[in-house]
Amino acid sequence: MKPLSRMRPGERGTIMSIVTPSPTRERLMEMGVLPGVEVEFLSFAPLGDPIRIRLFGYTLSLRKEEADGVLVKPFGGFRRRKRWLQRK
Amino acid sequence: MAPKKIVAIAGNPNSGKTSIFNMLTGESCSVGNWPGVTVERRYGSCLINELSVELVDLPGVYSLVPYALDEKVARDFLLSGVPEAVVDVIDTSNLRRNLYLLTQLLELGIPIIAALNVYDLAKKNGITIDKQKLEELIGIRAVFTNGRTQGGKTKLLEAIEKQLNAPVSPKALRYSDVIEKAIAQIEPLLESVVLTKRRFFAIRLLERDSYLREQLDDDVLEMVDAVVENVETHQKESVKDIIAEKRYAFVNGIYHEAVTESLSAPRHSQTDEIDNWLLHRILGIPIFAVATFLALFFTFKVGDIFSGLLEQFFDLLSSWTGSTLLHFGFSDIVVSFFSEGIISGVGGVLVFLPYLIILFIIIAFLEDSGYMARAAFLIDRVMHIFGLHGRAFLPFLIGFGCNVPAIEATRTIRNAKDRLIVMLAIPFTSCGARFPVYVLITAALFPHSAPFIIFGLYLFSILFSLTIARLLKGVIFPRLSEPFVMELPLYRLPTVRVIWRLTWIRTRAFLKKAGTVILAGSILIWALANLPPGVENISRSLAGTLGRTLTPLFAPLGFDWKAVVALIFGFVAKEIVVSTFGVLYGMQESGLAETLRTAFTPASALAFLMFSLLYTPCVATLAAIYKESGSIKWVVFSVVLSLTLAWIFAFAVKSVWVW
Repeated sequence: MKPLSRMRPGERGTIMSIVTPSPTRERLMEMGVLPGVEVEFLSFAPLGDPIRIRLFGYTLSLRKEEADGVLVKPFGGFRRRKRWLQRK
Repeated sequence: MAPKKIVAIAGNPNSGKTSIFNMLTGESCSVGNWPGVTVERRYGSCLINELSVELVDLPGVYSLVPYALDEKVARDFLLSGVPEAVVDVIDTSNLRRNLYLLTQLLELGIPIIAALNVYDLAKKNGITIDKQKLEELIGIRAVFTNGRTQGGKTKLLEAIEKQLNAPVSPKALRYSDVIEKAIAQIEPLLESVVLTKRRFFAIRLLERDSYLREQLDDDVLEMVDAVVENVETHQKESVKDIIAEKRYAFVNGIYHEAVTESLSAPRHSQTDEIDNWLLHRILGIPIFAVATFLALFFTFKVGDIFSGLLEQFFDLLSSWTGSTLLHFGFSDIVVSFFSEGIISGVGGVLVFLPYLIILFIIIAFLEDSGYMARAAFLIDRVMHIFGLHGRAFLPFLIGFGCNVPAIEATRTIRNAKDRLIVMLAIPFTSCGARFPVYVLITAALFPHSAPFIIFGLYLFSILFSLTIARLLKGVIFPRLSEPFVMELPLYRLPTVRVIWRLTWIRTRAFLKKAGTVILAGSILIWALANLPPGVENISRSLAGTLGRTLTPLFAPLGFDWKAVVALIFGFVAKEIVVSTFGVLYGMQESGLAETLRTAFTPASALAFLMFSLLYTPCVATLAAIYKESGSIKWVVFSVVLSLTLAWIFAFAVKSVWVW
């Protein structure tokens, strides 16, 4: 299990719990970031922050510090993107 | 005539709510602010057969739990009992998240009409909705709509009429037994607090809604807290979580019953492909730089052209009026009042319009197409250092051209409190009108280092305005840490009709609200310059007297009374400072350099530059702040803040130079 912020582009997983403090926590939950939901990590912004993820079929962006508190259990074997697309 | 029925329009941001609102209200829509807050309020009317309906467009929200001002405004309105029905605009290509809001609307007990929008896109992505099933499941009326093509308009109007005359009761979701029991325990406690919608309030209190908690007496609050703690101890989970999860479970339930999804077509291919370029690791930022450059270019370069034309027109009109009135024998003072006070005053308002119109169009285009969110995503890292959201970059950038459109541009910032902070920080960005002042003073007193000094002023302005924003945020809203969390919507081609109408109503609102203030300010300055009547020499006018009275305040900075008068006139429009000097010294601007050397020392000149950079924004900017913030207190705050900081930093600069 790892925080959403430490996932790699193309990696998918299931959200296990959210420990981000309020009010960010509630905002995340409103947007569908809930235990049991499948999420795919898309990319980092060019400057390293924020990050882009996909859930419920739509794209959500959030800061790394916000994603730190979202704990995800990755599926085994994620799609590896080309090396030069991988995060710093 | 029967009283108007009021209907609210709710929905997620990016759900196409605006185009639906537009579709229903057509020409009749107007825009303003919700009372006393920096949140835009759009309203309009429509006629359905004999029924006169007023539609109120609520801010786009993802939920009704008030973590932000937008949500509070939307919720307060829905709870007020004023709207008799709610239209929920649902982005069907993004169904689950949009349904989350619907589950909360159901709990309000107000008849609902669901506008299942963007259905063509949903169908393309393989989603099919059984409208009938949906209606039966949750007790609403639903209509398929397409805001862009105005599809579904008649059916939507029909559905609204039916919900007003023969409403279907919405079926609120039922939670688990534990929660239902808790609700049943809280509802009777609210007997003295609310008359209707007790279930809604009870559920909110279980979610520890801070606004509602404030409305309760301490003893009631204690009992409510006891219920909440009881549940949480038993369930080992916070009630907020339980309820949010249950809502999404309910959404899933609706999905399973009323929606079929054939996963043949991948949903995002087009948008993802575009994003691969626009959010590219290497190309993303350069593309962003080009996009912002274009936005600025169009706003200011093209704006300059039209604004220049308007200025010329008003100059002509002013002199024509002047000579005509003289011809008819009116006294000098009356002639001056009309030609220089009123006409130039009106011109002073209208001269901003080209910039505003172009800016409004650009902003609407960027928002509607979906690029604005990408831009915020790209630049957020930088803005976050100053405690701001990525979306704040555009208003700041525009501020360096002109503060007035920059203030208007703050509406792109979702969070109302952030909007206010940026509005208060923008006057510290060095707008284009201050540039002639810099040129004049540096040419006179620092002919060799002028470019460096001017560059330094701009650099200072950037850092200062951003730092002020950071400080204001810490001081005024200390507990606030608004999340960045932001949706990146699918790209789409903006609807020209919607953009045009939105631009038009916003421009009209500016003219009405800010325009009157600017005109009043211009007339005031005219009065200061031209009264008492018959005064020839500016130094004997009211302005001159005022300048001389205030000069002692500015003595530590080394300003003489003429400099003070120039600053006073700069209040109307900062570029006027230069021409005021010309009038005061009785010479053309080209000859001023020589004379200014006698009036200023290098130290006091630097102080004057710093003061011009920071002091109170022009009256048009203040008018814009008044309009966008909805209250006079922020205008006053802005004036006091800027004057104080200007004086302090001007003094500091002078002291450092001397030392």
